[in-house]
Amino acid sequence: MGTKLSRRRFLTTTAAAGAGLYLGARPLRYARAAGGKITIGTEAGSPYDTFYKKHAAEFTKATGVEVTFNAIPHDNIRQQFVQDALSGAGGFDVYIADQVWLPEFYEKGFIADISKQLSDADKADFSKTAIETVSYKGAVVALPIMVHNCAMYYRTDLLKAAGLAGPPKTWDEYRQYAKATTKDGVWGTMILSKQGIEASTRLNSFYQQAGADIIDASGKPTIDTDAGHAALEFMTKMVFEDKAAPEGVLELPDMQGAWLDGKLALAPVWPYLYSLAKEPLGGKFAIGTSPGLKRPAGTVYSWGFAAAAGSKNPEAAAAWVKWATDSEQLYNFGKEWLNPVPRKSAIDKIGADSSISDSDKAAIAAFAESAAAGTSMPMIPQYSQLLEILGIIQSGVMSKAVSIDDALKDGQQRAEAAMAG
Amino acid sequence: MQSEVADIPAEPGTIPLRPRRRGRTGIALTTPALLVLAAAMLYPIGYTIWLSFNSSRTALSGTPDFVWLANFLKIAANRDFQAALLQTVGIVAASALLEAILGLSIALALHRALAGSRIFQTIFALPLMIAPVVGALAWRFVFADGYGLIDTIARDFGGEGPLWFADVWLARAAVVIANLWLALPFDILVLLAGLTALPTEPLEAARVDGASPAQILTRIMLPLLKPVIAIILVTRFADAFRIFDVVYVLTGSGPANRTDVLSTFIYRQMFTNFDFAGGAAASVLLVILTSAASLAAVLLLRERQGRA
Repeated sequence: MGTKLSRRRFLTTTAAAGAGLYLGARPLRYARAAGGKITIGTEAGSPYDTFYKKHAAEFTKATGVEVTFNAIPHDNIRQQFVQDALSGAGGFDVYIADQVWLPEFYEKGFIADISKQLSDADKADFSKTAIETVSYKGAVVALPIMVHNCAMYYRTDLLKAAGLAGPPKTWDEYRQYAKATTKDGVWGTMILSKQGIEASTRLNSFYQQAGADIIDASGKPTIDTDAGHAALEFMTKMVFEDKAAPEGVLELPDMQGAWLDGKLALAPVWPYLYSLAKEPLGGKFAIGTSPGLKRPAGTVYSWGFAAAAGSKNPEAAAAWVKWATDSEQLYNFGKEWLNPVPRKSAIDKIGADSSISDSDKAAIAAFAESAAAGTSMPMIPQYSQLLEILGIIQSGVMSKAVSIDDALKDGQQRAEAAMAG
Repeated sequence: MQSEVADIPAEPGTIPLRPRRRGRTGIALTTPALLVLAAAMLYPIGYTIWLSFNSSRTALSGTPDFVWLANFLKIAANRDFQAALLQTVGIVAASALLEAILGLSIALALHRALAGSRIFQTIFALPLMIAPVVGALAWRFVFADGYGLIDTIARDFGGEGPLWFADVWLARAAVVIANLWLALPFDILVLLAGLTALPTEPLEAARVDGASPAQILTRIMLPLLKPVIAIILVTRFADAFRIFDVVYVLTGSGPANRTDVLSTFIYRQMFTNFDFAGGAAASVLLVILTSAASLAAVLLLRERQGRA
């Protein structure tokens, strides 16, 4: 006769097994917190992903905390972090954070306030703009590794051949330079307008260069304004009137590809292109600040590390954020990737490093100067939505699907609805 | 006793299982898989439906905040949702029509077993092995304004390619073409299987009676293929209504949201606007729409079976 599993026996066994699992799991959970193991979400293929993976062993040696990286493609990264935060699973202890996300992530309780972990001396070592880009409602919600904007890469050889010396400092000069260098298969410049966040950041820059922004000091959207008209007229004139930029709905890889291929004279691009542009260009170039109508420079954005509020190991997560943004790491990051870094002490070390060539130091200084001349994006939780709206406006106008007036009117309504929640 | 197990053939040297014991064993073996399936599929579906009747705060706090049909009414009144719905239906209709014409034409050509048709079968199946997002990226390079493959070829012949993404209708056409490339192999393979399974007698009889190839196709082959076509429609409707990668990569829903579809709308609602409940309501509406379209195709199949 075989053993018969009664209902009571089944329930008793199940309960015992459940209790055993629970009790077994508890020490495991505490062990994880005490043992120091964190997962960091980074952007796959990005300079910081490569850099921090290479140096993570130093953090483990210094703190005893083991680090695992989960690299996510750029287009999915925000979605993955939001899903992780919503599920409460604690899949990530640290997020690589675009400044754009910080206000909304903090507002929703996805990331932690790390103000208390930052000493006054430490805070003072960061540039004022850098701290502003990670501060929201009085809290420091991340620490930056990179504070940058689109600098103007310009071909000195092509400008010289056209009898010009760069970089252009005003919009009028920008148009003039672009027109003069558009010949022999080379475009003067390129205006990005594929609907999406990348091109939208350019339109925000044009608003700021026209002396305004997409929201005012009281938080009211200011899309349908003189600055908006000026920005879109500038973009359309460059393409359709001056014929100094190619028609079509173009995106960042189009601009970078044309630049690297030597087919572009003036390219407002992010600093990271510099380390790629040195070899394949086939021409001479320099870097300056983007021109403006009333004020120069592109909108400033930062990337940094934020501690996930749902982390099972908050101390280790905060420790990573501090370590990854300390003077030594930022100095190494700036040196290896020739990027502007947000700490004064790291900038000084880069300046004093004799292994870095003068041209590379000049480029880093030019990027830093460009960022210093710029204005940060508005720190509001609805900024992602406003970028979407800017994308609808500029793709509509640059494809001639919508007039400037109608696009701005529609954008204003959308922005007001977004801000009203 | 012997008769109870008579219908279960036993391997030589093994003892046949009794039906009841066999049933219990089957349940025991499949239950873990069914539980995993339920957890992986039914829980998210159930949660989405539940969230669609609650406010977005529920997604953050986990505390129910029942709002009845408010999310559905809000989404239905949203002009971006309405535009995305219309554009999705347009893309699905255009895709279905082109898939039917091209899929059948290619399947018929391959079915004739001409020289090299096996190689072509393999070539046509290739897109099935490519991730949609990768396929979409490849098409981005084909259509790219100013330097894409089409533009380069046009310039080689002294012309100029169209600006695909700067024109609303060309952008929509680009989406349909790329989607067609991804979907067509499935249609072709299923139709080929259907053609191979067709009974030869009616076709031979028609030929003997002097029917033309067009008559054989329209009067005999297509009616016989109706169940296969219905299966393709059910599968493809479910797939086409969910179109995401191609739009996301090729156009980003632009210009001016004119290629926005329901999936990209839902994605934006969820992950840009953080309107989780509104996104959930839109997802439920998308499922209802997809189910309705698929049901129509199933009814078509039943009609065929009823007549047969």
